[in-house]
Amino acid sequence: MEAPWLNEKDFDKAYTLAKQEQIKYTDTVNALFALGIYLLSDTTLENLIPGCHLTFGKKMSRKNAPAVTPDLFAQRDNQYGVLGEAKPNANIEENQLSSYCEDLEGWFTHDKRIPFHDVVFLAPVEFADSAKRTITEKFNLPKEVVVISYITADFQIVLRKECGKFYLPDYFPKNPVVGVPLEILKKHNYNNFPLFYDGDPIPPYTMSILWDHVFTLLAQREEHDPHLGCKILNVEANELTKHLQTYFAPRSIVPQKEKQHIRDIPKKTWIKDALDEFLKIGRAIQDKSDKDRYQILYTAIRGEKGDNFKFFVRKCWEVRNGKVTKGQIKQARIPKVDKKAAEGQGQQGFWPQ
Amino acid sequence: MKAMPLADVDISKDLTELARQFDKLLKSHKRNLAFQVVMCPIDFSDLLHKKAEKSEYLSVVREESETSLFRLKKERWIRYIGKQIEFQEDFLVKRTSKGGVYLAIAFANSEIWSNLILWYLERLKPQIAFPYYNQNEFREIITNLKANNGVEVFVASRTYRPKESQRKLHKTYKARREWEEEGISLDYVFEGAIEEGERITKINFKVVENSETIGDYSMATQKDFICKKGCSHFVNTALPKAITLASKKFRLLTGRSRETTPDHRAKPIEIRYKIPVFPDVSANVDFIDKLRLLPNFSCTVLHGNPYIHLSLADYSDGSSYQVLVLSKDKITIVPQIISEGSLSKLITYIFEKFREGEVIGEDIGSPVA
Repeated sequence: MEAPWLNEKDFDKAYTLAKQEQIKYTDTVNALFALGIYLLSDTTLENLIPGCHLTFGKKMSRKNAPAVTPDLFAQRDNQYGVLGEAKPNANIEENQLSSYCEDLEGWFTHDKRIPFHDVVFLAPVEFADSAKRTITEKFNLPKEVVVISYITADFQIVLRKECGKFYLPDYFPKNPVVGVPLEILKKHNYNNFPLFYDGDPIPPYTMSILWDHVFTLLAQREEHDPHLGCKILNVEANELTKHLQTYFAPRSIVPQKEKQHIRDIPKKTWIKDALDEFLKIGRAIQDKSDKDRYQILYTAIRGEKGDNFKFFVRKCWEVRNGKVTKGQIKQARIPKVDKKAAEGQGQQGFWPQ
Repeated sequence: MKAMPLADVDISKDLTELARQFDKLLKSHKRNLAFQVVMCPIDFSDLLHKKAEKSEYLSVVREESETSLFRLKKERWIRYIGKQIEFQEDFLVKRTSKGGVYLAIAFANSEIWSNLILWYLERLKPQIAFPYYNQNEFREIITNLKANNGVEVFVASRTYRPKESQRKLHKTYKARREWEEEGISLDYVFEGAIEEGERITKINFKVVENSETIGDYSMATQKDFICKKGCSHFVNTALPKAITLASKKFRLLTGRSRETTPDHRAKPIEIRYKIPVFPDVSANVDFIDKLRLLPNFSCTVLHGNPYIHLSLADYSDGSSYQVLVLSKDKITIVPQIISEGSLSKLITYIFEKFREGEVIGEDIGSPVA
């Protein structure tokens, strides 16, 4: 299904919708992390409980059924943990929540199971009522699911328990509302804001992050091609994914040996989605033999007052509405990808390990 | 052939001895000595040697262990004159006792200094950076010229940025005020600026001892020190302070690229203010609008209200940042993969276009203004 903002005929309306989606996405990233911090820290929120585990998008096994991947995995100790699902909209899946209520395997205990766990559904405040009604009135779930709404206000993520009860009485004991300062969130995430969670972002968001934080750096080693009016960057989807996972995924607090199994945010498919959008707007060319390799037609972007997200929203929207972009004209003049050169770039060791 | 007085200086000497030689030059030529403090993470002389190998207009004249003499020869179109002019001048690069801090010194008139030497040094950014001195530091450096009892500093003129309400958005409006020949006291000038909400960007002043003028200087917040008279006095009093402050700033900037930190942990820099500078949404908008005009940077707004989350990329060297406002009295710069020069450029820009604050590196703990 195509994104609603792409179907708008007026660009300003399209941009407003795309911006709302992006803000909802970043708010959800923050809310998930904030909830994890709240569940696993002391009352000051400054210190995490020793031995706790926090991660996002952890695969959990089920008996005779496909594995599931909750957005939030917060294990307090060997006895108790919380699994959470976040949606920036009102699309709640009964089967998904139901599966989280099962006795899942994948906890960090000797038998990978845990005696007690709660399931949380996290929704933005505007959808909280409908989520609450749907979960309590329409769904038939094997256990009570806690619904928590979130909103960003006064430099903090405000979490409000809308319905349900935690197994542990420590959570939301007197007041259904808690605020997690964004400063605390940054501190717990290696002093940086996470940019992704286990949900698909809209492609212009990933495109702008790639342009700002990866392509602009890669471009420094390339010579400007005066005939094409740009630099050619050879990139590979797996390497780009790994780079964004290293720098912009939410922090995982899990045993060292498990780390390799955890970190898959952002997903390669999202990076591919972004690269394919670059292709459509004329800012990339795909290798014919290796579909993960692309050449990026790089220039410093000056439009939209330097706001690369807005720039890419506009380009995607223009292409969707049949307009030929300057990038597409350039794209038509580029010879096919030189795979040898592309491989050479990988050997220069740009990608931090 | 144009005279190149620096070529006759014995550059193997230390800075104090060099200053004595400079004083002689000041007496015999109608030129000024210009100093620029430079912060550079690699050896600045080596950097220039490499540039000279590839450059048609930069060459190495002489080299000693601590000092190198370079020559710049370049034709430039000068807009305000409306013609092409060929400039040629020598400049010294001297390593200081503080790691990462160097001095570029030229003996030139102001036209050559600004249109050739400073122009060239500016082009080396962000591989190098100039330290930005805030108002307190600015005052402190100049106050150091009053080394002995009986030495007084008199300000002849100042250039300043008027307070925010008197400025038009996006315009760097500068005003100049001059006093009578005898000048006015340094404290009066700075106290007056604080009262008026102004920020002094350049100051021309004289140092007087027993009614005799022993020094005649000008100094800018981010750029150069110009010495018209009394080089030794300047080198022995104010310059060490300027170098020490630059060294602190340089240490604050280094080691922050996430490429090299353990677990790729970010090492943010905070700009703290004594008053709430983000009291409402309009302040957020003002700050974002200003950052969007940062030359050669992208500025993507991920969140603008109630908190600010910006994604910035420096097109000149590929450095990138998250800039956050998570409280009313603080800006947090979260460097990603960055260079020191780019980070310095960003902080300086915020100071110049938004507001000066106290810069703090989280891992250092103690404030470095």
